[in-house]
Amino acid sequence: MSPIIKHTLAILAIVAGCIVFSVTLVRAVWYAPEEGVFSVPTFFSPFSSTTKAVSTPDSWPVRLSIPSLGVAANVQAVGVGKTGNMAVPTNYTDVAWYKGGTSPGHIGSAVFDGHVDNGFGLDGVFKHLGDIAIGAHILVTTKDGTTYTYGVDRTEAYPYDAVPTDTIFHSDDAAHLVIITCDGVWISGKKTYDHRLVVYATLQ
Amino acid sequence: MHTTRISASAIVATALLLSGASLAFAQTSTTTGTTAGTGATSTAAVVSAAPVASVTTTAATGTKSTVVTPNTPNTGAGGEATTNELLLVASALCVALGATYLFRQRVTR
Repeated sequence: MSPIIKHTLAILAIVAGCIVFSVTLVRAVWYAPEEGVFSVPTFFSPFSSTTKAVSTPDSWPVRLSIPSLGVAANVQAVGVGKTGNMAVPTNYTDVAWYKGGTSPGHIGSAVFDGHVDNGFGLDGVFKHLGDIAIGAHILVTTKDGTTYTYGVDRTEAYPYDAVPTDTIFHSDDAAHLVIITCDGVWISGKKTYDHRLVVYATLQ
Repeated sequence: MHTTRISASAIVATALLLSGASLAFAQTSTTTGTTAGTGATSTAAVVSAAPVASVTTTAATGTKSTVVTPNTPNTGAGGEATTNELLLVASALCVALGATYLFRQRVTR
C-alpha cells in the first residue's frame, strides 16, 4: 500500500471518528427531536364544550416543579410525533406538555411527559418520579405568571402497549394533571421500556 | 513489517468506523408505541402509517369537533447505553490510531 493511501486512510479515520464520536455524544446526552412532528389542530371537546377552555399561548405552561423530588424544569409545548405518539422534549432535562390538550388550571387533562434517563443511563428529569408520594404537590407556572398547585391522587404503571390513553388525555370531571414517563425493563428490539409510569393529580 | 502493522490497524479501524457509523445512523429511527388506542388488543410495536392514534369527529347540532388521542410517549433511552459507549470507544480508537500513524510519519521524516 502506497504511503499516500495510508496517509489518506489515517486522515479518514480521524475525521470519521470525530464525527461519529460527536454525533453519538450529542444524541446520547442531548437527544435529537422527533422528525415530522404534526401540529395539533385547535379543537373543542365534545365532552365539555361549555367548560373546556381553548388554550392560548399565555396559558401555556413554562415551568413545572415537584418540590418533594427536587424537580424544577422548563416546559416545552409539543404535539404528536410521526408515529402517533405524544411527542417528547428535545432534551433530558426539560418536560413536555401536550398542547392539543388542556392547559393547566382548566377543566380537563393537562398532560406532561419527560425522560426517565438518557442514552448513557444517567438520570433524566423524571428518574425518581416513582418515589412521589400521594398528596405531594406539583406546581405548574404558565406564561402569564400564574402558578397552579396540583396534589397527587395516585400513580399507576401500565404495560407500554396497554395504557388507557382516553383516561389520560380526556378526563373532564375536574382540572387534572397527568405526568407520563417510562418505567420497567428495556426492550431492545423495540427501543423502549416495557412500562409507562403515570402520575395523576388534581388541582388544589 | 512495522508499516504493514500500522496499515492493517488503520484498515481494521476504518472497518470498525464504518460499522459504527451505520449503527449510529440506525439509531435515528425508532419503532415505538402501538397503532391502537385504549382498550385495543396489544399489537407488536410498528411505525404507524397515520400521524395520530385515533381521531374522532362528531357532529352535534351543526357543530363539528375533532378529538385527537395520541399514543403514549417514549421517554427513555437508557437501554442504548451499551451501544452508545461502544460507539464512543470505537470512534475514539479510530481517531487515536489515525493520529498515532500521522504522528509517527512526521517523526520519522
